[in-house]
Amino acid sequence: MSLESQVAQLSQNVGNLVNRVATQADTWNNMVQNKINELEQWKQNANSQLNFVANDPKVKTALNASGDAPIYACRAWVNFTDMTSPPTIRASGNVSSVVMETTGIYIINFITAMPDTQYAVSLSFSSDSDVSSNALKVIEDSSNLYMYTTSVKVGVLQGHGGWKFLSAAIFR
Amino acid sequence: MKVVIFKNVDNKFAVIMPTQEALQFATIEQIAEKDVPAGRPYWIVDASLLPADIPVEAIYIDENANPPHGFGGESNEFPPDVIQKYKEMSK
Repeated sequence: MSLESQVAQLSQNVGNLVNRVATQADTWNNMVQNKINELEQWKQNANSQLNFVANDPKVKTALNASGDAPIYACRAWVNFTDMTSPPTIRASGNVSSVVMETTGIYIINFITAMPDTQYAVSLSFSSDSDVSSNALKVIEDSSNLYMYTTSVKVGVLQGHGGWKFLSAAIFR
Repeated sequence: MKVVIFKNVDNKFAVIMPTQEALQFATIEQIAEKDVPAGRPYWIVDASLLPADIPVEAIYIDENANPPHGFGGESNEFPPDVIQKYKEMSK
């Protein structure tokens, strides 16, 4: 075989090889693109299942909340003992600290602020004495209602006598 | 267990108990800066040093003999980086 023929044959072989590689690359590219499309579809499906509105039946079922009444979240809570000896916060959620301002007057500070000051405050306390001699309240005076987005001031009318712990829950 | 004592705007002293929850992502100094009224002096002390069974009104700190450890900050909220730690902790 002449040299020219050998070069022509070799050139044809190289050309064939390039075509085969290109074809294989296209196949792989298509396979990868199909997998990407599948993943994107899977992501969209997952997002559609995770996105739900407030009071979605899935949420209410998970919280064991039957019936049509809506559910609203407790945004902060704390349970603390009478702070005279020794002061102890037993547990809390979204509360950074409790201030004993004067006897029977406490400020509950939130870690993250409430959206506004229109929240509801639920208070309770334990007592082994005459319950009628104690009272719980959110503090106000002639010029202020001490409900802020970052804190609320509460009081036990009879100070530190006759109760072991006080609980507060904030709803909004 | 540390607590914060601060001198209030009426010059009476009050006691701050930080929650264990907050101490997981913030220092007691950061909590004091947020929860002590702006510009008011505060001291961080061991809770065991507080006299038992006396009203908070009986607490007194001589400011001249015991310089404050800090002063309340202007904001009643944690800075964004601290809140971010809380959010990550709450996930």
